[in-house]
Amino acid sequence: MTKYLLLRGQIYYHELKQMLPSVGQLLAFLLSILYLAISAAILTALISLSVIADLNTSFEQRIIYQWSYFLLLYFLIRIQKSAILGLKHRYYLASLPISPKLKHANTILLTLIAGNLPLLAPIFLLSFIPDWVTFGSQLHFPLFALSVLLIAWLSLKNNTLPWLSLLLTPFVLLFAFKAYTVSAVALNSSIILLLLIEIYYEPLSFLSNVSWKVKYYWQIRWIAIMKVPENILIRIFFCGLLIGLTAYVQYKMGQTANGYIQILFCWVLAILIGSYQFDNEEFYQDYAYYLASLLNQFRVRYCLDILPGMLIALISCLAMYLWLNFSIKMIVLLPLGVLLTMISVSKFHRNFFIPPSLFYAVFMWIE
Amino acid sequence: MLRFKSVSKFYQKNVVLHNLTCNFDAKRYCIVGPNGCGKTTMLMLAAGLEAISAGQVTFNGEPVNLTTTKRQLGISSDKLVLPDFLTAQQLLDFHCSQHNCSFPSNIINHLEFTAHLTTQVSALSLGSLKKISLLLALAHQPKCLLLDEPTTGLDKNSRAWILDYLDDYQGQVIVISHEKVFTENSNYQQVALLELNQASSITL
Repeated sequence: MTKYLLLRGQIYYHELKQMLPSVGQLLAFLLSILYLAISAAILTALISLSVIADLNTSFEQRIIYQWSYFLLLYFLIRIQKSAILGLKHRYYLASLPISPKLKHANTILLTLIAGNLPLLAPIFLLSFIPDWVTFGSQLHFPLFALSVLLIAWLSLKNNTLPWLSLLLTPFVLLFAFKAYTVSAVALNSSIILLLLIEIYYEPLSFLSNVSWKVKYYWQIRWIAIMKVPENILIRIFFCGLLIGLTAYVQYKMGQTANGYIQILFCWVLAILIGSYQFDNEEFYQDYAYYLASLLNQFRVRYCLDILPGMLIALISCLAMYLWLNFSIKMIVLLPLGVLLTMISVSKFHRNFFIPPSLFYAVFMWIE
Repeated sequence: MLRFKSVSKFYQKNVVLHNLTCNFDAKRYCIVGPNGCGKTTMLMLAAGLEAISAGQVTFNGEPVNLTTTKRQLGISSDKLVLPDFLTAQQLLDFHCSQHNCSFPSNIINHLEFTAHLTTQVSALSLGSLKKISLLLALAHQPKCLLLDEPTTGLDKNSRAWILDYLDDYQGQVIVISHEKVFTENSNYQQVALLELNQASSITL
């Protein structure tokens, strides 16, 4: 038992060690400059537990807080899936004379380590419920803790993205059920039901497995993105989170951010969205010879590959203009910054954040 | 005609090809040489997939990295990593759309590959990977075929068929192989790359 656990632990840490440089490269800027913000983001998730635990939290707020928590946990475990399950060494691990129960016990232990505070905190908080009467009156929180466990299971079991439970449901609830009163217990029971359906049947898995007749290069790139959608979705998620938090702060303070803050905000978003180019560069590296054998030009492929990033930038600046009342010049500044960041990634790799930082510094100086 | 003119290829300080000049005039060639002597690199350069450190590689007088030239070349090599997230069908559809050629149903049938068309490239066996690689090289019926170990991993029927097919192929065929069907085949002019690399200029 101990030796097997040690082996699985070594595989887990070895894979994490290999993964960290690429994550570090992707988040070089954030890690070196905004490392406090990262810890703040995790703490924000933990603080949000108090909102989730509160029975009086409004329906809309509950949906936003719970699904942000779910998404954070899903991505946290999903990016470590290969390390937790030892997928690279699965045939070797399967060849060992270890009982399935022991294998599952080790997987559970590694999942708890990988899920860390976002996974453990709700379970830990359950221990503070003093008696069964309180348990019954606060049933929504045990149900939430159960859904957190189910999400951890889902992120390990399913290969496709949980379109139904994590992506479509919050939007449907926010827009279609806004007018109705849905209790926290009913909401969390429904989530558990949806998660179980998604775990066993994957009803919307066809969204990830659409078999197109491929004629154009952009279709190849799109299929590649959809095979590993986490990288682009995590950026969309963080853009939404940043815009949402800013809107909340502006609403609480009763005023719009000034010019400096707006440029600073554009800077962070540009780095976040533009660093998506690391994915494109990895794609070019992985299939270098195949891409070189294609009849279209590299420039054409490059221009097509930066479009998803530019689209996220355009949607973000529209949101900034319409919801945050940012000045109209931000509509130009953000896409320009994203474009500059993407080109910088191709040219300067790990030092990619220097040109866009200088670019925004000039505008701050003018401001 | 494929032509190497004063071609050199370096990987950092490692010289793979040095000032190589040669003309491939005949219809069939088999490039031989010990492992690591640069055979696959030479094939990659011939297909315009690898950047040349010095010199020029042309096909019918045009640089091989031009789109118009690439249409006339077909390459199959294990070094050419295919997008493994696509199905074999998608890969072939895209290839045919690029080259404006018809879907190679006939070759697919002969290679007994129909059942694997809907399989993702990442899930293909080694033999099936070789087949999809050959299909991509052959689908557009190029004037020059560049094949790296074309029979490795193929089952008996497919191997026999591809050998017959290559014998009858109208265009030029340049293979890298250590198999006797090529190295002891009088139809194939043997090219010893190690010796060729040491000589300054050779017309084959």
